[in-house]
Amino acid sequence: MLEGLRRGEFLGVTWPGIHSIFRKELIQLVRDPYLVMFIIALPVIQLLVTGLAVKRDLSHIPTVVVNYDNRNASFELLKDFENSFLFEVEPVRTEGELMNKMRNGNYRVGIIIPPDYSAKALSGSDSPQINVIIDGTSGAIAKTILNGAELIVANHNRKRLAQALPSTGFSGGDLGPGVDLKAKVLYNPQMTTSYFLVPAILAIVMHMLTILFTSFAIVRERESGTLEQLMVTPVRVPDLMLGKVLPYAFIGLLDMVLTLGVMVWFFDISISGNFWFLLLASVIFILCSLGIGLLISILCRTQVQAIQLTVAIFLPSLLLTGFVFPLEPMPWFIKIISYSLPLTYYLEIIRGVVIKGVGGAELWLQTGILSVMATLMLGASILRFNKQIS
Amino acid sequence: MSAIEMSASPKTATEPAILTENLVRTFGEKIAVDNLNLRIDRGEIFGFLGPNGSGKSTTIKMLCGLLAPTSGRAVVSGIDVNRDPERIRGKIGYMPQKFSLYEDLTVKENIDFYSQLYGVKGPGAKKRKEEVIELVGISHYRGFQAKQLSGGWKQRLALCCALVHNPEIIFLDEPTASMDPVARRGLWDLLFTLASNGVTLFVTTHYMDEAERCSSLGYIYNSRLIVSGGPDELKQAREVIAQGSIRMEVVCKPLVKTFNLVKGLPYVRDVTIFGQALHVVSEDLEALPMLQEDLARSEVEIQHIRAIEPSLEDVFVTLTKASMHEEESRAREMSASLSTNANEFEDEEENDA
Repeated sequence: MLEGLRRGEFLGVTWPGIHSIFRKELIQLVRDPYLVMFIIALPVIQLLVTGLAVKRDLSHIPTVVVNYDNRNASFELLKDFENSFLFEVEPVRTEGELMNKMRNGNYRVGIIIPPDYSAKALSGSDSPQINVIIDGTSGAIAKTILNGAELIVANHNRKRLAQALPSTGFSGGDLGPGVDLKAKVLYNPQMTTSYFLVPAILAIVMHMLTILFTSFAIVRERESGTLEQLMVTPVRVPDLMLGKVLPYAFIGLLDMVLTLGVMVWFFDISISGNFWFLLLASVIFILCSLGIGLLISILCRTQVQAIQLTVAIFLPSLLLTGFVFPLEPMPWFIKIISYSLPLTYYLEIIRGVVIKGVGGAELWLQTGILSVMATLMLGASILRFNKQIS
Repeated sequence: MSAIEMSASPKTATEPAILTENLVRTFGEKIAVDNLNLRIDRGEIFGFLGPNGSGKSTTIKMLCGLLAPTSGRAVVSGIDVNRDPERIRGKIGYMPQKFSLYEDLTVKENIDFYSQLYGVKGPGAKKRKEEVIELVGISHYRGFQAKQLSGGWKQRLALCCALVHNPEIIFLDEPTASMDPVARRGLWDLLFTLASNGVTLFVTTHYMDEAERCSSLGYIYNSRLIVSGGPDELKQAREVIAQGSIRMEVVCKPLVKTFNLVKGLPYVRDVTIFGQALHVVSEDLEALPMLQEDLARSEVEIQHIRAIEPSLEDVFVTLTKASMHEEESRAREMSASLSTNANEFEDEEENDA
């Protein structure tokens, strides 16, 4: 042992050995600009971006209001809602219009003020009522909205009491009971988080799996040398690309059906909308993901690079698409990233169909954008792939 | 379509299979192929020789349309490779240095795959596939996965896939590099069969015995073609090298001791060990009797000493050494001029101070 220590050896490792490997690794690292960029810039960028995304609290939630009362008392209440900054109030005329806006997913809250609101508020005997309708798709957000609305109404009641007291000089008893908030949660009445998360997890898993499928497709052959042999044949590039993608598209579709089955029978979350529409949108989504993988495979020269680039796409997809953190509070420049990721649209589709029961009529835009993205990815792969090596 | 093709590239007997004019390829600063001019006629076995990294593979990749030339022109089977790389695909076969078929597919599946890519179809397809399988002699392995084959059989399979579309020209990049001598001979017999059927073969190799079998040769060293031509021209080069010197073969025992002894003799310019013999070069034309005498006096057991012709390897070794020498002196000149510049610069600095 002592003899070994004298030679600079300890438990089988030697300092000169460690040093030489360390040095070599460092030199190699510095000489690979791609890797340097990857290991330094990526964590910084991702921490910045995701940090910004979660830093802000939920505020300015798009809210639609139908005010059948249209008198002072109700305006005062609505002013309190607006001053809270939690709600961004937009008036509509009918309840039907309100429901329509909420079904599209652009509005999370609806407030209905009945025609007798002001009358009851002034009568001092009846309790004025408001109905608050909350989109329960995301259980966590729905709970925040409900708590916020209850707090605003409670404050409003206290304020009315304080205003009334000096003028009457009596107890608050004459003022009658305060405003009564009646809340109704749409789509996910229990505000169960699993309703919100399970379809999203399914989407994430499918997204990553299908990207991985193709991200090795070309680069593996490049590394093993078989690509060179392929390139001297008269094979056409689009054939090669689609030939690579299609087998995985079928496997992806199979996986999709299997995971939907798990969702329905294991997690007990039934698909309230049209299953066939969901399947069609899923196929488009799978093609889009395979296209991303293929493009990665073409751009990378080694399989290791392909893994790195795939991970670089996974993280923002995980954090910025509304999977865990709601999109609303994110600043606009993060939203640009969010809305350039296909998963954002597919999450809206799968949550819409599974939880809300909406279909093509409401989700045509998301489906259309996914189709365009899929076409762009596959098209870019075909254009980018050169039969000559450079 | 065929009429246009005919007029565009009339296939006369004089049209070469491969023609390059001042072909250059650089990778950044590095020149991989420097001003290559080649002309290879149809039906020839062209041997492309040179040490590792001399530009052989780069040349093949340019001729196959895999790599765009930096400048210059390459015409393969009457088609400009740079202008229309897709059109030559069906006319050529390519066997890269590294085994590049699918290890996890069987022999049959690999052949099927490539015949499909090359558009070999219809009733003739099955016949053609059987033909190449028979020609290459891989019939009894057709159910084996490629990874189960030995190096020699892998190369035969690769050749089979490169042949399945009946190409006019086949490029083989060091086809025998990983083969045992028996397999090497087998593959060369196969290449002769192909050449006799009118196929042009472009073969790179390290082995001088393989070079001797080619109908024409090119030797590339440090990106530059040093010598090319048929056996006649090479014979001439041999004579040039033989001028003013004599080459002797000494078969003896023990080899290394004799080697050291001969190296010390004043009239000997160069000694090399060739198997069980020594090749001795001397500029003294009367060296043979002198060497006989010197060796007889020592304790070495001599089987025979005789004068020999320079081999192809001798030709290339001499040419390479000459080229290296030339380069070295150029480098020395350059560094000399650099250092004088540096000195001048230093002087200026001193003056400034």
